[in-house]
Amino acid sequence: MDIDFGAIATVAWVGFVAAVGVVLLYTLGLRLLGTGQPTDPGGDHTAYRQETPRSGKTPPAALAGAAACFAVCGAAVLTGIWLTIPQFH
Amino acid sequence: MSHGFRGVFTRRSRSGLGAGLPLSRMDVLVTVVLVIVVALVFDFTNGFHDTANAMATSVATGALQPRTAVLISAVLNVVGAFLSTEVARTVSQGIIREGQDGIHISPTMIFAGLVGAVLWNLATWYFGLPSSSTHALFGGLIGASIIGAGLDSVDWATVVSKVVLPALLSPVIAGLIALVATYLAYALTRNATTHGAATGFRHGQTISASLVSLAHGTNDAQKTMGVITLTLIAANYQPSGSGPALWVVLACGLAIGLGTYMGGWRIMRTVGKRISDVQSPQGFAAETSSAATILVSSHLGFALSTTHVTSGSVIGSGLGKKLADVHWSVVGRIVVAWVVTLPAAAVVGALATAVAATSTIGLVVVAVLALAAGLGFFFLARRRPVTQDDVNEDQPASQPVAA
Repeated sequence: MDIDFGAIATVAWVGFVAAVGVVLLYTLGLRLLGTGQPTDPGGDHTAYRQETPRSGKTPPAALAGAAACFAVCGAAVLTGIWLTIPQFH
Repeated sequence: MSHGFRGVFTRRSRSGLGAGLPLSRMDVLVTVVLVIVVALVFDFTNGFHDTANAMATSVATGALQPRTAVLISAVLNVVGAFLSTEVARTVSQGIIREGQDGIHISPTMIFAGLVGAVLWNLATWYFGLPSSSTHALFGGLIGASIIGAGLDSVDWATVVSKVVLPALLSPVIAGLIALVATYLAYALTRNATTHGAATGFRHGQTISASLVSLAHGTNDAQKTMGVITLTLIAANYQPSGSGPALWVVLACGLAIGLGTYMGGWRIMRTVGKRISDVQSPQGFAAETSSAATILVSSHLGFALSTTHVTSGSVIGSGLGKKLADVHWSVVGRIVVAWVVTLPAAAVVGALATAVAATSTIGLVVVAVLALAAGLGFFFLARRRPVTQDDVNEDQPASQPVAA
């Protein structure tokens, strides 16, 4: 029987790096965006309208960092679309 | 004419039907039309069965309204179907015809196999279980070929290495990735209390769930296109080695899109609410893990089942949140459904072949019985419907709900 364990290991490894990397960067972006702002006490149950209004000051460096994080995530999504469409490669 | 029916198809070589053997064009036409109809029905069930894969967590966390979620998923599935016909070419030129001297699979067997796949998809939908439509399709075709062409016609080593093993490994891989991702998402946002975190995760989740839908369209609609094209080639309506015709692409894309838009609310409720009550950081982590795993695997040339990957991710995201509970009894039922899918569809496919291969009348009998069974599941489901309005219900309603 011919089982390609190498390919399965590659999927696991590349998938891990890509998914955890994107989640890490996106979460970091959210964290930077929320720097200096009041917290949402509701945690993961917070609906959009329950959010505490932005009232504090977020340092410009944090905003720039957040933008950079989201930009990389956007690039990852474009890469995903590029991979999906065979006409591109 | 009926005695020649099987003979012709089973004796055909790679080049198509054995021309010159006694067989009425009418019989071929009836078979081909039935295959196309049941293939499109399969595509439709595939759509509403698998909406849950991409959109269940988005609906559960409130990132998208149920109707919006299925609309986005439907559109992306149709777009995906048009983007690429590579998988369809592989199916019509490789997978099913694999074998030394051309596997002896006839349009009648394809028809019977599809009947097995459709009925199994409807059964698992009725019980709200996310099972792989691809496994159902393979199972139905395997059962049909065992009866129609003997045990030797199935390459069991390929079945284990290409179908069974990935099914065992993919939920574990996706689950582990989602577990780590979920843990990080919660840890970095201090349990999602960071300002705007919950909303931010919902936006992210919408995007990664859309990617899963797109990838689904480029994979699953293709399988039906491949099967229809294979049948048209086998019946000499289309030259050997050609790709799917435009009307086939159109019909398959629309069938899967329509099925997706119908929304398999029963399965969505299981995936989004009953495995684990998914919250937005978990939903984001789960969908991103699914999207990454599916995209990487199909890019490397072996497509994993979307169903197995997304279910694994949801379980992983349940484990990754501290103290979140995964309902293992629900997981157990899903795993049983996964194990049973291939053999169950195979049995139906085998029975359908046994009857359908006798004569054109047998073929019609199978079609009528399959229609009756399909309608049976539909009316059973109507007695206790799950709709877009109660898709997020965690537990069975304590009071009977009107209509």
